[in-house]
Amino acid sequence: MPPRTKKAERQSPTMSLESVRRLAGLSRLNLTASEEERLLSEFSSILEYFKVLDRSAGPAEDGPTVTPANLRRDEVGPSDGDGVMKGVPRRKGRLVRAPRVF
Amino acid sequence: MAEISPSVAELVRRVASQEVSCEEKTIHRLARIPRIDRDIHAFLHLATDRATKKAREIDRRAKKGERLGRLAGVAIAVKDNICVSAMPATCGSKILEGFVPPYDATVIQRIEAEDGIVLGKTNMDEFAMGNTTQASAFGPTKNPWNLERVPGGSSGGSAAAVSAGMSTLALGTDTGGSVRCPASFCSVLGLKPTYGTVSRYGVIPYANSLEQVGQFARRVSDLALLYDVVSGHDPRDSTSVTSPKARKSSGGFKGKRVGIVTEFFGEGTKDGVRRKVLDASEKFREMGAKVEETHVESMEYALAAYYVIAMAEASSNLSRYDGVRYGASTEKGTADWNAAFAKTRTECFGPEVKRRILLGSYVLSAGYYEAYYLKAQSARGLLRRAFEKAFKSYDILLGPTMPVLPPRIGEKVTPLEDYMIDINTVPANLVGLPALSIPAGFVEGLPVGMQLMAPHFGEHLLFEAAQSYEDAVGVPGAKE
Repeated sequence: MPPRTKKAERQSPTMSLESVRRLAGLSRLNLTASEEERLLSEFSSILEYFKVLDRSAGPAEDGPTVTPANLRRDEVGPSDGDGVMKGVPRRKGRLVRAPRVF
Repeated sequence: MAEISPSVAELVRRVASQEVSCEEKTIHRLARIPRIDRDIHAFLHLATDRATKKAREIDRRAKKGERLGRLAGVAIAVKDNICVSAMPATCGSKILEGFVPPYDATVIQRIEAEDGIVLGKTNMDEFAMGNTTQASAFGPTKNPWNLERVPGGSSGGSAAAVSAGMSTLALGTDTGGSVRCPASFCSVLGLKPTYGTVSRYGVIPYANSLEQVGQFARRVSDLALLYDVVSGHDPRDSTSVTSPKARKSSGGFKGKRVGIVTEFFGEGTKDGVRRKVLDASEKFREMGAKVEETHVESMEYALAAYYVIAMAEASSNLSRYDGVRYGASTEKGTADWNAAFAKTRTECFGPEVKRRILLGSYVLSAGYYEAYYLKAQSARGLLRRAFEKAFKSYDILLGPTMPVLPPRIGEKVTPLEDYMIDINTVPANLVGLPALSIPAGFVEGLPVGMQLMAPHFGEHLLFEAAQSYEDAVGVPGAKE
């Protein structure tokens, strides 16, 4: 989870072209200049709509929770290694070919 | 419109008693589908060999007098984000083109254990992000009632398959309305079950805390049967719940309390839709139910809360598509790790998916998490309490499933205008409530759906209401 800011945001911030580029980098997506402009415009109006949430207050509800009772036991069971390997786009035997790290 | 086909129970009886050859019936159906689907494009993959083989085996067992399953010989279409082994699962995306899951989703195992026949995989908006099925990488599906209109989405292919009589039953997924919307636009029944009652094991995720596998049928008893077959606790899904003891319907709807929710008739609601749904709701009054207008608080937050949470979860779920372990890869050569991921993802994801991944990352990022994501979760809590309060006074809450008629294919709208038509369906996903869209009639020749909502684990109330309505107005026919 990202570190919490000391003070909760009172107003939803608006987005910039810089933000769009940063997000594209984080998301591993390449955007053209015209896509960046278009997305910035779309995001601005969507975020403007999201401002309605500024009026909501109350304890956060994190949806369904996973309790210890829901967790399966940490036991190794049968798995279909061959079946999984069939779906790998590029491989060498049972090794998955991956792009260079460096 | 074709004549009304028999119920699933009757179809199964005919197969078990050998009045009908399951194999012949299946071959005949599979031969008809390409002809009908040429115009509609509901199916991405037809499993002709597997379906025929299964049908032949059912006939063999029927001949030996063996006990057959509750779905014996019944044709079922499956949305392409639900894993069926040895059948492609594209999620309507180029990034999973060529991916064939090595295993069956729990819902598929349960259907096949009851001798249901999976016909094939149906078209959908890419990764279930959309409400028109136009965002599929493989072309749109058309509405069987008017080929210039959308069937709804994201489970448009499944709804169209049932609507056009190509399949008796179908499975979809509903994250923000993706079963109920196409059910409404295609004039079929579409159920989003209580969160946790249908296993998500083997369902390729978009937004885990919101989605459920939903069911399509033309007849209420068929829908209830399919739900009964696929639902139930699954230890392989950690969000799967054990329902309280199954409740049987009490028969008849007299004395039940129906609340017509004012917030579901907001300013974006088309007049014809408003009138049609209000007329349809009168049927419940005629049956002896107490029907009155009511309000549900905090609804103004629902759409924003849904999109913040859904996009956040989507950005996380779709980070796995890197072109390395499965699916498509467009990276050839020696590009480094990040450049390789970016090339495949850029070339293989569509624009709506990219939009949601980017915004989802934004609302989760440091400095903005509290401004958006936490507030959305807080709104979710408000909405849950608002519905709990409403269900103290009412058994069923009612409104139009969709505020508009099915839009034209290719109609230009902004993303926000598109998101706004989910306004009535998202509350059920945020709170985990069961909700059912039932055909309410036609306006300007286009289908209109009425949405019924019930408390958690209240599917029996929904089926009771819908069955009473069906008894009053009849079973809608397929558009063939």
